Amino acid sequence: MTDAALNGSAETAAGRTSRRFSVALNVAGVGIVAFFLVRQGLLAQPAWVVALTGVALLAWLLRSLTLGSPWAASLLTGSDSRGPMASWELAGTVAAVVAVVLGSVVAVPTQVLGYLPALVCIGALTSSPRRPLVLGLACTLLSLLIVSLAVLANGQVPPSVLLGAGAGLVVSALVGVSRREYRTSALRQRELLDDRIRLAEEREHGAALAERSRIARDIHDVLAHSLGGLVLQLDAIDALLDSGKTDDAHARVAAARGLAASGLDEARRAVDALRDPETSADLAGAIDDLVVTHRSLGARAELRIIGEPGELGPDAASALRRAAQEALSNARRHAPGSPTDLMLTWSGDAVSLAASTPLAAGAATPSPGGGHGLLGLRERVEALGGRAEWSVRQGSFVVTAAVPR
Amino acid sequence: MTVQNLFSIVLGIALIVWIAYRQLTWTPVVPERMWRMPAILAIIGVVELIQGNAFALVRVTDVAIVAIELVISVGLGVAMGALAHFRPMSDDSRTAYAAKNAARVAGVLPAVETRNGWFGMALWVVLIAARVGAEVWAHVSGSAFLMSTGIILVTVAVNRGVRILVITRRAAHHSALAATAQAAA
Repeated sequence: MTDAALNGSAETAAGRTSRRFSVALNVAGVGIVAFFLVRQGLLAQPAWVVALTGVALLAWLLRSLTLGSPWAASLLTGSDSRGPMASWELAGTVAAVVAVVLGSVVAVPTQVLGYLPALVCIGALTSSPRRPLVLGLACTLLSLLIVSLAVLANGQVPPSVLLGAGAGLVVSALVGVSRREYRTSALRQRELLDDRIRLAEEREHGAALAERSRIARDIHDVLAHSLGGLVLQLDAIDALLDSGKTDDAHARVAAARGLAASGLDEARRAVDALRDPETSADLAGAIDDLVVTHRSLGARAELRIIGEPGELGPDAASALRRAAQEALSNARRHAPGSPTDLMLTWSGDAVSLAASTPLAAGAATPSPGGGHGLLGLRERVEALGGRAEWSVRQGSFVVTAAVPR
Repeated sequence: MTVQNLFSIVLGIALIVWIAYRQLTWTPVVPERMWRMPAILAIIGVVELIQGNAFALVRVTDVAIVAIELVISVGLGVAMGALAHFRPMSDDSRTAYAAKNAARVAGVLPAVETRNGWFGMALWVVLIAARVGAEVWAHVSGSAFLMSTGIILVTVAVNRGVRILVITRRAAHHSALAATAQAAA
């Protein structure tokens, strides 16, 4: 498995280069410190000093090598650490702590040179935002404690050793903490960016959903209106042919053709509106077309316009036209033969349409919730900030829809 | 007994009693106020060290002892901070606090208060024991530096300071909880 596959998010080439550079730098550091330790006469020291110094150097080396691992890459890209990465992380941490402890123990006998693995690892432990800060600070204090105890145990320590060790400890802890701050803020910025991208995607998704439901409404309105009318017509033609009234059937066929043609027109208009929602519609003309079609189906309807017609947004115009269409379609279905009175009112801040149809004798009372068409109408009108209502008033079924201008 | 010694003893006892008292009483978590005492102690301590010319007499082993004492002081400070109890401030105590500190309160009232309790008191005793240990070492090895009042004050200041660091970190969490509870009520 490659590094990138383990990371989930791809590491940049620059990041990989800097990581490898840091591994190389650390390995070179181990070599240089080992060389100077030997030149300084480490091998002439007691066996335990040689052994502990050697282990401290090895631990530093091991920690440096974990920097080349996939885990280190995940540290830089901020991805989650699980599975194989967690064991790399643990190995690196343990090695660093071992280097801190043993390096501190040999700080006095090696005249601070053997303390360097501890200092480097303290810097590393405090600088990683993935490890608790407490761990780094605890290691710093532990190192200070061990070095102080070693000074007391030795008794004859030149001040320069203590000064060097103390200064090194302070510097590495401070550098570690400041690098930690920098990395944390970099990670936070990356998270912020991710959040922003996710939010934008969600918004886009929501907009797509809203658009889809608008299109669904349009399709319902156009198809339910014309196909529903067509079914009624075809039923009538069937009955007429059964009873041998071919002339009447002919007339009905002509009407059905007209309805189909107007449905096709409607569908074209709806598709045009979807393609270019900015196209403004001639509202009164469109409703009048509906009334003409309605009459051609043998029903009765009247359109009255009150007030001065003016500008109206395409969405609002389309919503009112659909309201008229729904009312006429319902009248044909539930109250055949009853005249429908349509009233389009232009007022200062709103345009409203009221459609009233006397209930047919013996017709079932419309369900109070209305059908799909009425609910769709209400959704559409309310989305524009308007109101849609329907009720039975003085024996008539009245649908009103009002949209702001 | 010199005046200097007497001063140290009185100051020491006053400090011990005051801090012991503070361990057991509830105090509002107001970082600016909490930092005041450690800051004052640290300043007096450093001035003491400089004026007493203590640094001229420093030996390597003295520094090691001071370092150990500081590590213990920091460790106990972390423990005290970690063991501190928190509770949301009642409306009464907030009103009392606001009335008492009207001149200083800049519109923001503390949300929680804290105290260490008997555990904190025990840790405080451990810190004093560590100081007594250092004092004994100083007598045995004849170190004037270790016995200076300045070192004591700096040690205590470090302990208090670390404790406050931990407490303010934890209190931020508790304040958020208290605010949520208040919003829900």
